[in-house]
Amino acid sequence: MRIAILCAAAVVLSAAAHAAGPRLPLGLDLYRPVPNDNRLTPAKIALGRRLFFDRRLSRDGSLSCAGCHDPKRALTDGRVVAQGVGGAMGNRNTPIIVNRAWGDGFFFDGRAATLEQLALQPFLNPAELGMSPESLLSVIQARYKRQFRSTFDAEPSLDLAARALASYLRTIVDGDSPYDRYAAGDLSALSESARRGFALFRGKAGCGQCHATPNLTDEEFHNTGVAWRTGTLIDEGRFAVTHAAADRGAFKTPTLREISRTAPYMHDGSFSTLADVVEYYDSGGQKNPTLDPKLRPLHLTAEEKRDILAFLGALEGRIQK
Amino acid sequence: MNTEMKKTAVFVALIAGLVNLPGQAQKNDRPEVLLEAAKQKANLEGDCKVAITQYKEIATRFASNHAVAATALLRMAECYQQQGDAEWRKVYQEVISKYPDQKAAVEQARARLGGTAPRETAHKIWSGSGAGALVSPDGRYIVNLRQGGDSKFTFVVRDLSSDTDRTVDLGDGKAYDPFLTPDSKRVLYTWWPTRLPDVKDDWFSEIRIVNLDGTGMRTVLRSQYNGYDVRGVTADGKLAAVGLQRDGTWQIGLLSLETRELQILKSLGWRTTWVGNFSPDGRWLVYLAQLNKESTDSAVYVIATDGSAEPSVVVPGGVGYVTPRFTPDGSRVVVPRGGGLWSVRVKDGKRVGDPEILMRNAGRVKGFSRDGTYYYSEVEVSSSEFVVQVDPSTWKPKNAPARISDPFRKGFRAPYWSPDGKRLAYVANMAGDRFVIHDFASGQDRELPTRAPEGSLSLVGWSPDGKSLQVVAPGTGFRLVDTETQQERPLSLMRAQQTVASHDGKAVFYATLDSAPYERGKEPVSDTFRLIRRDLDTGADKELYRAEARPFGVAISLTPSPDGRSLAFAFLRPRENSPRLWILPLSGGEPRELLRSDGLSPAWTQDSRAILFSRSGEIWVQPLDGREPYATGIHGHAPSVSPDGDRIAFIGSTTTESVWMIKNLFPETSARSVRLQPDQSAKR
Repeated sequence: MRIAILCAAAVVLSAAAHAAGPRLPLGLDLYRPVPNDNRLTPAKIALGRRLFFDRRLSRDGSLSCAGCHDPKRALTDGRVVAQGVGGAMGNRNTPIIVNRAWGDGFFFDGRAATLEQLALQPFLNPAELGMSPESLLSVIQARYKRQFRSTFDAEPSLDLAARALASYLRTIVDGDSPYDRYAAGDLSALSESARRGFALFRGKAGCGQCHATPNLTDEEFHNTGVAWRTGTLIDEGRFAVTHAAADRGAFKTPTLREISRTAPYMHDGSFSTLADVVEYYDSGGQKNPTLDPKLRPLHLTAEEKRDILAFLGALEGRIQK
Repeated sequence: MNTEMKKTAVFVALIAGLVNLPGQAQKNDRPEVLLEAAKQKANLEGDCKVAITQYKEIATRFASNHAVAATALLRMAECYQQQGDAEWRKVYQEVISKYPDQKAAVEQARARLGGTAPRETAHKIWSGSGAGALVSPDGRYIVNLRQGGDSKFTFVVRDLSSDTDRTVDLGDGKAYDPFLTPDSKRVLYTWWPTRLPDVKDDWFSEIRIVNLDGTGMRTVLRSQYNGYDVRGVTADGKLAAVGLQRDGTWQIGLLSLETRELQILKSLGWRTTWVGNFSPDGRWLVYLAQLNKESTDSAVYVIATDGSAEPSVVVPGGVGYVTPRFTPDGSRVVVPRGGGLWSVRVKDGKRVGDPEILMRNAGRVKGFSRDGTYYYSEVEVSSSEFVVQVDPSTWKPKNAPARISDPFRKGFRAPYWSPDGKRLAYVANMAGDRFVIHDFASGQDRELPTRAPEGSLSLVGWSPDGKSLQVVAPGTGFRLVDTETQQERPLSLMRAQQTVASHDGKAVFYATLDSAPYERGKEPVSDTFRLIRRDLDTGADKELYRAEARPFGVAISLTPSPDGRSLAFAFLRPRENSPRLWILPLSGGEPRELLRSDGLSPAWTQDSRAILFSRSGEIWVQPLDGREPYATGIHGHAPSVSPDGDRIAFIGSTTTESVWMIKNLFPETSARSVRLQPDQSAKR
């Protein structure tokens, strides 16, 4: 009996110690999915972080990943669509990249199944960092040989660079927002208006059907009609990956964490304020042949819209990066 | 006719003869009545010693009736087993040697001698009403969550060492899903506000904890989750494993019972999840989750409680699993499935080998005590006619409902009071439908046979003079059955969905639905629903109400008010699950919808100012003056108010649970374990 209690106490202490190291913000799962072939190590995370912030890994040395995923702007850039080297314009809004360890199907169209698959694509995209595989590897070999050897016990390679970057991305976490504190039982964490907004979010407005606990995304793809303009599909979205008719104009549900800090909104940055977004969903979305059936006119009152905005404001938390 | 058939015929004739004999003395001599009485003695009262004597007498007295004698011996052997008396082996042997013609009984006796069913060490430790008894990990307490007539929730704590009960009042609100801590001293439970919450409201639910002596009640989590489920607490009592559900999504949480901090261990989205318990060292947690949100299959997983390891599948996906748990030594995970109990060895959070079946009939799993004793229960549900005294101003019960019907009957239907309130009539089934008239003065029942096909008979009331029952049956219309002579007097023939007599007995009300042929996938058209009053003297019909039937459908009941001014009618609309109750003024005018409920067998109060109806297994009152309906705290359906207005007769259910224990579960079973085939349980 005594031994059992001691063992249990030791385990609880051990769990506490585990949490105390890279303690995760409130609201996130304690279990953080990590692939068996790319376990997290401090060295890998540190190397990935350096690669993330290194401007030398762009074609003209002007941009790093952080150029668009700016820590000062909640890891976004405030632009309608991303702007790459030499002023090259992308066609989609820069997504927030917090809590991606718990996600799957990356980019707005889900073309990367893992963070390892995702990690190098922005380096090689001409509209982003604009490197070629050869030039990227060359810079890494020249600048990071020692770090790769100490981290991986191997010479630099693009595959290992992807692993390091993915490891770092898995440590960018965001939580401990008023919403998280409220969900964990601190009933004073939300204002009255935000509490009403939360009830609307879960109920009448139906936001929670896709923006589900705990990361406020279902990690799935929905056609909300944003890609349709006057009957024309502007961006195929998920269809480009699956070629399934139902996916025409469908995009990944983004997390709503830090949403008040990450304007403009939608995959194309077409709404400049959250109030615009709420108005759009209140209208039931742009009609099109594959509009997600969850969308319907909501008939929200002005006060209800204000309450929803108050709740969305309560999703501003603490980003660890 | 061979010997077996002759014996069967003799047995059936004997039973049939006994059933038809009037009078209580003969009824109590029936073998099935005697067997049932002995069974009640053993299972309800827990008195196996007396039950063994009764079974012995039955086996001796009906020795020539092999079916009865073999049944008595089988049950006697079970009683010996419960007492741990080795005599059980001899009794099973007696079944095999004396009654080889009773093949099922012999097979059962052989199986038990072979050890594939209740084990030698199976003991019944408690029985009582309800179906959710908890057994404390030290095996000392049985804890039951109860809802009283005043809707207050309490824990009833039975101390098995002293055979005493203690009640812990849980205050206002609704309590659910209790769980005992490993030290057997505290109970965790879910608490909800009294009013059922709606998602648009700013409501909260809680997890609370209270000591078994009623002290130290406190809230350990208050939040807006739709559901909590606690099924594990670490050995030191500091950390609880909590299943959390919000808006259809599921999470596994670790709740500190000291700091009240909730840490989400894993979110599972829309995969329905059942959280189990911790391994004894607290390093692992077992849970069951849907494979994906569309799947009917679920798998059992073990996850590291510090979040450091990927969840590991220990029992692969299949249908029909329920909450898994670690055994007290942590060497196995057991999971109920299809009535059986499956087990898989685990080490360091991973499975070792294949799942095995431990027991094919495992009952309801209650868990293990620290020494490895396995607890399970068997539940028996039976319905009966009840009568309860009420306060007519509130309709709350003044005492516990009294069962008035014979427990050997089944298939009870709505009761009706005689006009003088001294008798109660209802239809029940025992070798066919019977009218049963209960006399409150003598406490005796009388049966009136009926020639109507089983299930087709409708008792709708008493004649105003109290001498006859008003009866409706297909093809024979409305008629009276004399309660003394049993003579039948047809009064009127009509084609109706529902028929009921007026209180003065001079007229009947009936509902018809003239229905057009229904075509699959198309809206029904041109049905006509009609409520008609027929004068029984002249036979003249008067249409009271007519509507195109689209908003109506199947009429469920008609109930005239005692003041003769209104007719309540309940009907079920097409594609709706809940019937609607409307009130029609008999002086003319349009009916109005009064309420919807999942179970409508309405009854008027004697002052015609309110209607009693059932909702979610409880009797409610709907005042007609516009006030909100309210619950009476009486659990049952088909209420009927006595003429004096201070008693309610109704059909209620009684659930009896017997808790059993088995020691040394694993050493015995490991030798004859079998492999779990993926589809084996699904076929069952």
